[in-house]
Amino acid sequence: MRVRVDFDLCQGHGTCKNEAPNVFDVDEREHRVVVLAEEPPESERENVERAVKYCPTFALKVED
Amino acid sequence: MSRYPFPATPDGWYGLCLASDLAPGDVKPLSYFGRELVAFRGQDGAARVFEAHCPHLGAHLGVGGKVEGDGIRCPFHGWRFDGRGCLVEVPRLARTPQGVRARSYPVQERNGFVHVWFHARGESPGYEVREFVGDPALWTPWRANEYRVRVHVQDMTENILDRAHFLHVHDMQPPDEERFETRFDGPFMVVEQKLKVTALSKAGIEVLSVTTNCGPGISVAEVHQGPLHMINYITQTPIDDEMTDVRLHFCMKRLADESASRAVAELNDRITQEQFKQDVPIWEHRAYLERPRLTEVDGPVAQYRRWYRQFYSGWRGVEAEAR
Repeated sequence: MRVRVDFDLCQGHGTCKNEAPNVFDVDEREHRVVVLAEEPPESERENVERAVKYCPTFALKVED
Repeated sequence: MSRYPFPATPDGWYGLCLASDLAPGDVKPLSYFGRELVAFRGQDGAARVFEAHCPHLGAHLGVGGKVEGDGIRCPFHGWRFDGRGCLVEVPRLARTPQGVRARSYPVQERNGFVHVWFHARGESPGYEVREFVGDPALWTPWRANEYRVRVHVQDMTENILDRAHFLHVHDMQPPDEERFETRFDGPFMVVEQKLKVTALSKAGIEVLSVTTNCGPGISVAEVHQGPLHMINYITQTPIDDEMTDVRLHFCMKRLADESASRAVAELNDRITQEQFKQDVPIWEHRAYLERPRLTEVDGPVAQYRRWYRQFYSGWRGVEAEAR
């Protein structure tokens, strides 16, 4: 599983960080996501999928 | 201070009036895009739009100006401009000054409307208004309703993909079968969605609505419902930093029974006007938030705003934001 971010859409709301704190962090000053693990382990799949679903700007994608 | 960080008039085609409201020889003064304009139809049948004020001493060509041939004559000292806006005659002057022009705007007539092109940097049209109504004999004549609203055109169009507001503001029901798709295609945005309208019956009527936005000024919602093919053609034309002229036009494929066509048209009129009036107080008082706290049921608002940036050649923030 690979995490993709459209940085042009991301506004750093931090929803992804709440859903998957091991995978995402937020740069509060830049209003931008920081991907901690681009290829997170399978155990994070559920969290990452929730992050994708609830991202306010639909900026995240998961590729297998 | 402006309510919005971006210019009041994005680049694009805007509706001015029904083509049938501008007959050969007609002259109309207009105030749009923070400017004074004159629209007229030459004796050659072509509609034209010029900057209103004569370059001589500033008279308004739309107030007392007369159409002559393909051009217009100023009411003040009789200067005559041709269809391209070039000065071609000054009364009692042997030699007409060269290179004097009334600034002209590109015009496109389509679907029974006169559209004018605005570009902040004066560039030529980058696209055309799509054709929705071909042979006018197959369609009922346009019915028009006009409003003047304190809203930016970007906020108005955002409404189409703001899925959650349909349920709350317009009291619609979620459709039995979810269908929602947004396609961004250059200056066009097409939103296809199922809506369940409850204006006529509590149980609701499900319709498939396909809205095509031709740039920032023209939103065309095609609704297919059983044998009916209806079109709501909305033109939104900025007047200045505050106000927008919004015109809702309706037509439908003619039914064999004329009176049935009329009944459907009247019904649609009632529903769209009622829905429009529900939106107005929200639009007139909402703030533009740079980072709206959206959720998964809101529709692709961020994608929409990104698509919209292409219409702001006149806004330095575009480059800053695109980084």
